[in-house]
Amino acid sequence: MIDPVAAGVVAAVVVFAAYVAMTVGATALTWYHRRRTRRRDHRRDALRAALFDRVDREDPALDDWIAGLAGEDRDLLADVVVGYLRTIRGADRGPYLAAAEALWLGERAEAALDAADPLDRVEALSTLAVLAYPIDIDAVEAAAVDRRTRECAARLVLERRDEIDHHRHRGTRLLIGDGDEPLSVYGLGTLESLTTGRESPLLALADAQSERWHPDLLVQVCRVVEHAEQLDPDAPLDWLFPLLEADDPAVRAAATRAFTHLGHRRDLRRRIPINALLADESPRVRRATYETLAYWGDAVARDRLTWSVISEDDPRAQLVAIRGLLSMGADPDRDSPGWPTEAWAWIDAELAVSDRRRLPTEAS
Amino acid sequence: MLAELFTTGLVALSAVSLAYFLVVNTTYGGLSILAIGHLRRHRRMEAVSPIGADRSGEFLPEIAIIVPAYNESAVIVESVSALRSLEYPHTELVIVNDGSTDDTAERVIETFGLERIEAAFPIDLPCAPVEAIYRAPDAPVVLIDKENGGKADALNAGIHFTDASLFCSIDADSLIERGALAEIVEPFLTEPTRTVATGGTVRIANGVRFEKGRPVDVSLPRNRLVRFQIVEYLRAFFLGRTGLSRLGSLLIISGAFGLFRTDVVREIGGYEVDSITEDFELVVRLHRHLLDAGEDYAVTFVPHPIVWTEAPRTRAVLSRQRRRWFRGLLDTLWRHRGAIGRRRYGVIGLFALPFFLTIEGLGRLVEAAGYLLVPLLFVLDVLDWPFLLAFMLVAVGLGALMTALGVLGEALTYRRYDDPREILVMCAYAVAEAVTYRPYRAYFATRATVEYLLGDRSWGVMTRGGFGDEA
Repeated sequence: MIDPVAAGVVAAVVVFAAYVAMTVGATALTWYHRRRTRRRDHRRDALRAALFDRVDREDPALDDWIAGLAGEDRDLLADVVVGYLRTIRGADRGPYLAAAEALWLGERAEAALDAADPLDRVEALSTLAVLAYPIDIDAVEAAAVDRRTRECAARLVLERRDEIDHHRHRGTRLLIGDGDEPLSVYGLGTLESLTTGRESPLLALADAQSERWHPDLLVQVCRVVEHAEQLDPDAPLDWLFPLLEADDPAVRAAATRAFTHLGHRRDLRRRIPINALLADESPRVRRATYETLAYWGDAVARDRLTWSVISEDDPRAQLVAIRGLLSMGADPDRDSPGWPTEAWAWIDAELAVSDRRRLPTEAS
Repeated sequence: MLAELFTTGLVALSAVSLAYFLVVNTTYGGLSILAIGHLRRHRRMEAVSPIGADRSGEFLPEIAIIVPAYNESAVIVESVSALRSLEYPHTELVIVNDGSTDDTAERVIETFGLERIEAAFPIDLPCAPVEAIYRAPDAPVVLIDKENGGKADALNAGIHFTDASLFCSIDADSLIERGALAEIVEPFLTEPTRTVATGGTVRIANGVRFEKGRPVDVSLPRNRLVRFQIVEYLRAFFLGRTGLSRLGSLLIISGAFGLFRTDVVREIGGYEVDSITEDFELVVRLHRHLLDAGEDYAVTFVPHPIVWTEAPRTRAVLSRQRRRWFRGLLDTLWRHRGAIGRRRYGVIGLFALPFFLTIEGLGRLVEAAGYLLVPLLFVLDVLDWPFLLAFMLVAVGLGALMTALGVLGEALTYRRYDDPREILVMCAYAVAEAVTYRPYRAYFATRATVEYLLGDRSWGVMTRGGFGDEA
């Protein structure tokens, strides 16, 4: 039988000791980190200044200098070098790439590609993306074990595209993976860069696989098609048309917007069920259709928008249609029956103050 | 006989109170440890930012920063100026003047060159009547000038006016760090299709020196009452919310700094205008709506982005604030009582709501009973000294330990307070808090419960002194 008094005393001592330990620990940690941060900030500034000085010399002699640095200084310098390599472009990168080589950053990153912790792999992939260190593409692809590492690997492929065969295909496949989950906004940016151009492997991949893709990923792929500045003219786009009749209005809307920059293609426009989209039950889909028509801007689009302005019963969608008409420079008959005078007056008055208002597009 | 029964009842209540202190301190201890581990990993993740993040601009969502303002003439220009310098490329600033009786609207219009839009907005805004809408000719700044309807009503005006896919609710008297918006939006960028709401950290601005919207010297204020609130915030608001978020149980996103999907909040009807803790009520309703719809979603607490807000410096103002919070807690739990303990609401129904009911809600009343009864019954020789010591150990000792854990968490993670002397002071306040501030808080809760039962749903008045002022 435990003596409650003794137990209480023991418990009190334990609690008190724990409190003292936490107090001492918190205070000591704060003191230590404050000193360390100040010391590191000071050293980092000094190393940065020394690096700049050497970069400007005819013979920077970086190898000798770096070989003479202590371990912590080398780590600090590595942070500085990688930071600059992430932002500096072109020939100015040369000295920093040399510093990265002298710091063995490539070797260290390559060794971390098969680290157990995915964060280590992310860091390694991000570092390799900005270096000139030779890439083992198989090792890079093997390091891509989840969405975040796949996106980092794809970004590496994009950044080092001149050294990698079929970089667009590799990068796109890395990003899409099994098609069972959507991408981050960063992944979308990479996918857009890999898709814009004379080769657009995303479109062929979508043609072959999109039926199996997660709906949120489909929406994102449509957004990439919408935003891509240039697409392979021979790439397949048939996979987009069934999406216009998808059950999910978000997919229908995104697929509609995907045709925004394709309005010049008569073969495609003929197949788009514009009347059905204009009569879609979802205001979201109708808004997307108005914005697409506004971008196309021809007489047919103008007539359709004019009709929509009168027939639309969702006030937000109606505003989108009106802004679309105005963006085309249209001057419709405002005295016609059913004309939304209040909505038009608002847009007019808003424009009188500021023409900054743009056609809103949805972000998934 | 009756006296005996009464005494037995009081003793039983004391025992329940003791058990409660054990449960609540242990729970917060567990949440804190969970939070510290998560925060350390999160700091590491923050350090590895994706390559090309700056080139994803066209896919970045637009954010409407909605600023409800009622008689904010003293701070509104400073606040709006700070918001305009936030480091995020796609924002629209929507200031909602909620029927101010001072010159809040006039100051905004004059300072930022807004011009009136000479037409009625063609969409019915679900709020008190709108008198006029102003827009800046060359900047994304809008002022909605409306009749008074309360903070929730003002937020609803902004939410239904904007076309931005996300909106950020902030308080006009709070100061958001310049990089905070780019940080609080991060879950919407990494999980764009799941994330529906994120909350940032609220820290106390008293005693902090600001320059051009940035905190340059984070120090403890001299005001003792504020110091208690600082250690409380570290324990409950910083670590507590991080831990709850990690468990998928985040029910509170502070109205001072929260980011939401506009379409989802409109779908659920916006903020509840009858609630005095509309931020809490909204998030609970959001959870219920999305769980009822079977959606895969995320409501996340992002520990790094910070909004600085002024803490009450007097007991009177603190009392009003905390009593309102507690009445709001009771009100929200009552409104959503149908979800408490319900399996269909998963961790929200089975853990989060019961947690708030038992720990944050009824638990405070039990706490108050304990603080009152145990010493009294000891003096009356009803309870013996081992019980008193056990109570002291659990209520004061463990309580101080949990608060010290909060301070340790600060030292292990973000270290905004980086002076070791101040950390020592905060640890000392951890002990003082357990014997003074927490009983005081329990008194607020008791008083607020009586007020709530008597039908009080008022906001009270907050007196401000501006950022960095010391009492």
